[in-house]
Amino acid sequence: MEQERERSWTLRPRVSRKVPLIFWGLLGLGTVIFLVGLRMDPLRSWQAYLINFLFWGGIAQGGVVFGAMYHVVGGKWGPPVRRCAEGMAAFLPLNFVLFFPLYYALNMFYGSVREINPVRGAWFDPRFIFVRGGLGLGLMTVLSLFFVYYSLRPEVGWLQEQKLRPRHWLYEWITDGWQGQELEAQRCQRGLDVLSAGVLVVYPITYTFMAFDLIMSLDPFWYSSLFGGYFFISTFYLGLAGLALVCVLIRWQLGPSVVTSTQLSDLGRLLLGFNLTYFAMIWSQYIVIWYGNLPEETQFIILRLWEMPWAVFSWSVFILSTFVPFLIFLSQKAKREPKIVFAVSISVGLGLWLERYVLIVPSVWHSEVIPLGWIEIGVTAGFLGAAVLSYLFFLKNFPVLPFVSPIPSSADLDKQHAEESPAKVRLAR
Amino acid sequence: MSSGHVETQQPVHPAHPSMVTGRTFADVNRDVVRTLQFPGNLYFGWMSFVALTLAGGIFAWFMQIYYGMGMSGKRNPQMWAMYITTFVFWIGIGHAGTLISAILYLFRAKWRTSIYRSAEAMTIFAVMTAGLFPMIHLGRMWLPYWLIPYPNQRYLWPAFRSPLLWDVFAISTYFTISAVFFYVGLVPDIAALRDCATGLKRRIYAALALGWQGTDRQWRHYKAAYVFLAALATPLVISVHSVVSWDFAQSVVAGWHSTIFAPYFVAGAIHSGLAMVITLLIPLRRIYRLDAYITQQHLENLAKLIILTGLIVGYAYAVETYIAWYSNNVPEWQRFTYQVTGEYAIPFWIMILFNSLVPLLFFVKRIRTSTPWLLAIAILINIGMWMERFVIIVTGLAHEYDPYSWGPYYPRWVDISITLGSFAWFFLWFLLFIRFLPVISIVEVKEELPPPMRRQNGGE
Amino acid sequence: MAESKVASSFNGVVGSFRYLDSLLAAIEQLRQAGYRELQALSPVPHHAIEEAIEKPPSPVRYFTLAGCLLGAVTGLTLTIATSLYYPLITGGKPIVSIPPFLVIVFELTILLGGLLTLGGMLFNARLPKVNIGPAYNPRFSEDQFGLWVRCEQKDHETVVTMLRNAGAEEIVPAGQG
Repeated sequence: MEQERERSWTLRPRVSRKVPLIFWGLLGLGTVIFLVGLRMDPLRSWQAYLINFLFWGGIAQGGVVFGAMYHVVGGKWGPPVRRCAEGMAAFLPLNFVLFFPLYYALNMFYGSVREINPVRGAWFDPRFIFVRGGLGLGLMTVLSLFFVYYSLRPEVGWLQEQKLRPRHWLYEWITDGWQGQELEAQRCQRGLDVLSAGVLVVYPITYTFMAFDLIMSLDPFWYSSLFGGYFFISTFYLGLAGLALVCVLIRWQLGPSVVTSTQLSDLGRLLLGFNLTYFAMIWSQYIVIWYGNLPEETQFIILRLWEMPWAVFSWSVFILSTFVPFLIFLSQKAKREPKIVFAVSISVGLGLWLERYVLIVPSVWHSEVIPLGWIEIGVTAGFLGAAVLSYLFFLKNFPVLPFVSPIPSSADLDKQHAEESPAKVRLAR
Repeated sequence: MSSGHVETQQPVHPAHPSMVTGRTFADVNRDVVRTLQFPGNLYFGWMSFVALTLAGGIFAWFMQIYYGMGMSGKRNPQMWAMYITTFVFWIGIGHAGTLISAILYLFRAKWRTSIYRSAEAMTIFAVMTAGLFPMIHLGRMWLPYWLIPYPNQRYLWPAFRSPLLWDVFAISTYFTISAVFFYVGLVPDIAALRDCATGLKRRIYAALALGWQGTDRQWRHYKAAYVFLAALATPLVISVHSVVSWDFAQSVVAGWHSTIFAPYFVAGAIHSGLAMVITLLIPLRRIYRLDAYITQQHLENLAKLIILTGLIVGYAYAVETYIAWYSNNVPEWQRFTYQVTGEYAIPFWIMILFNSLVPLLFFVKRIRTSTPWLLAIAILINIGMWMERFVIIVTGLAHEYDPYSWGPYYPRWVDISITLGSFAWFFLWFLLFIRFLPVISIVEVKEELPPPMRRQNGGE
Repeated sequence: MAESKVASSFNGVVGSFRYLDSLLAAIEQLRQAGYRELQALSPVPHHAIEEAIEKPPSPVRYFTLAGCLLGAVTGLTLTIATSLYYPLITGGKPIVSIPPFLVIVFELTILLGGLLTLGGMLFNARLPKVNIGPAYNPRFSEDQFGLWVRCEQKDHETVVTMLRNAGAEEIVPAGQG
């Protein structure tokens, strides 16, 4: 048992020195491009910033919500998947900090709304939007971080006891007030129970209001009661796609016995299920708006779905995030193949980035030129760099395999690699 | 089911995730067959009560047919009133059965095995009950077949564009697929009953069992069919109550035209259905002494699911309120205030209290593990959910755009008798089901028990 | 898999086993000895039996797919053709209005998919079976396992011995599987 625990700490993906440098570079480039863009065309920079803020924050938050869900249902099918999901919490503090610059964009986004639709008055005072958004996001970040804290604490505590690694400020903070293995295991279990429920209850509320305030309100007249629900399902779906991508990468690094084909297949099924749920959310809004045919509702949809240039984006969103993944993941075999899962995750991610683009941009952008160019790419690259760096930080300091699973020995790893055949579909326990 | 696992323990023995312990295969057969014995006085007592109530309902319906729709309380503008309330209520109840039998199957939740049979039966009977109401609420109820697309001498076809037609297709499909799923799951169990019955019973069971022998070939195709039926039933169940919700949302009635209706109704349906499952299981378990199969853990898991659905329903109430304010839509806001403070304020507040606040009590472990509390809260939830449909329909129609079109609804004895009669109809079928078919799935409970192995001295 | 003969002529042996591992051992031995036409009877499906018997996966999924496609096509045809046949504008919607029709298409997809799945199961499992045969032990649906081995009259003794060695409790000749 002790040996297994030790192995869980030594089994880490090997990341070469060059990789973080690339992402630091992207982060730097993104910052520079954003600042330059602010001078040239502030609206365009800020909308790119908002899109990416929602996108990358969404991946991270969706991943953590999956971890909470996994805990609440008492799942046992994929401990490394759970840990990979928890790792996404590393980006959340950064995401929270990145919310603050949006303050400067709020007048640009909401100024016209308040003029056109003054009845909503104080609710759309940019300062009020900012404060309630910040509070919600802050609460969500704190809950998510504590959730991951309780998951990591027993393992880091054991590590400190065994003195396997040099002391590190992060480990010290996590194991502050360590009371011994048995007591801590119970305490952390209780903490996980409470916090996973907390994450799951606060997430829909926070993201509903984020959707209502940051996306829906950009259009002065349109509203849809399902929009909040649609957005948090979409974010969760995005988080799942990001998680699948990360799991495939970990598998390519550490081998198929760490992230097994069955676990990939289960992730694939979840992706398929939430793909359909996501589409149901879109359809529920569309069919009601289509049938009612009320101009204040339909103008939003028509602008995006049937008018150029936005139509191209909308249909790309459907194809990339819904149709193609659905058709591919109908096949049982496809869900077990890492390359296919990787490709589908990329497709879903791209589709959902474009989704946020097509929700936000047509409401605020009123000139002829389509805003898709070096500013958008630059800002996206910057956010990508920040997200990946935070995840690499997590991987560097924490084990990918939680204790619950029997850590495979190298002999087992070789044997399982040889035996892996898609024909034998077993329920892994 | 424990949430999470203490890291130092061994993995749970794979033979007991269904929580049924201490039983051999033969025990399962014996225990389930025991429930099919000739019933006692309690059964006949309930049957009589149910039959009387049903007779009252049928009499009320007869009066309505003979004297006309005026016998009911329906008046302009309240043309949907109590009948459609009860219709939506019953369709909703059916959803929990499919959730437990199909969706939990796909999620590999082993604990569903001992309760899904009763839940599925509940679904079928709930849909059968609901299916009566489109007929009952029609003025010319002898013409319901006009809803079916068939070539006729007037060259007329139903209006596929209308949500009411979507309803026809959705509910017929739901009934058919649920019945097929139910029957497929029953075949091996009926074979087990056939093998220990005699005489006429044996012949009937033998016919229903289709000559099932349990060969590996039969099992293989059975399992494949089962998983595909579950995979088909899952989107179906979401779509059915979405379609029912679109009966309302596709209109432009203030308060009905809301995009959240589809998931809101589906969550509400599962909410009321789970409560009905608990209401049925607790007496069943008590009277037939099935505690070893329908354990406290099962009831607790159902209670936890109710917390989830209750939170979703509460969320929907909150969002609807926010959007009613946010939308600047004057009729919608006025209808909202009418709901909260108007003539039907009492049903509205019952709805809020019973549907979203009372289920929160299940967060307390002592409450969700206590059978009396479970039963009481389940009944309150069902009352609340019926009230919800009543409030949505009646206040929506009572307070539309122009004041000349406003009008209240006062139920009459005919409406109430028919509604109570529908409950009687449902319970009648459920009592018949208990009498003649296995209430617990023999095969699936056995699948989760360790098979008899010589190495372990047979049995456990 | 051999088709069963209606007449109760000898074509195999059925052994009853109290334990699952005895059944699995028997399957193993008989397959090695060359008796490939086997049917295992059990009160529950079990993956170990499936693996021992080694049959190809069930083709029921093709029935499901066919049913779904048929349902989709039927739905589209029915709704579009009848709308065009009697073009009546309702609610300002187009004559051929795809969004509502898609709901009908979806429901019919599920309906026909489910019905053909049922059909596929019955067809492939050769149900309903009129006669379950005298060799069928009622305890197969309770807690015992069975193994039907197809063999000639001359091999009868060998097979019986093998079954008995594996742990069969009761062995009867079978007229049909």
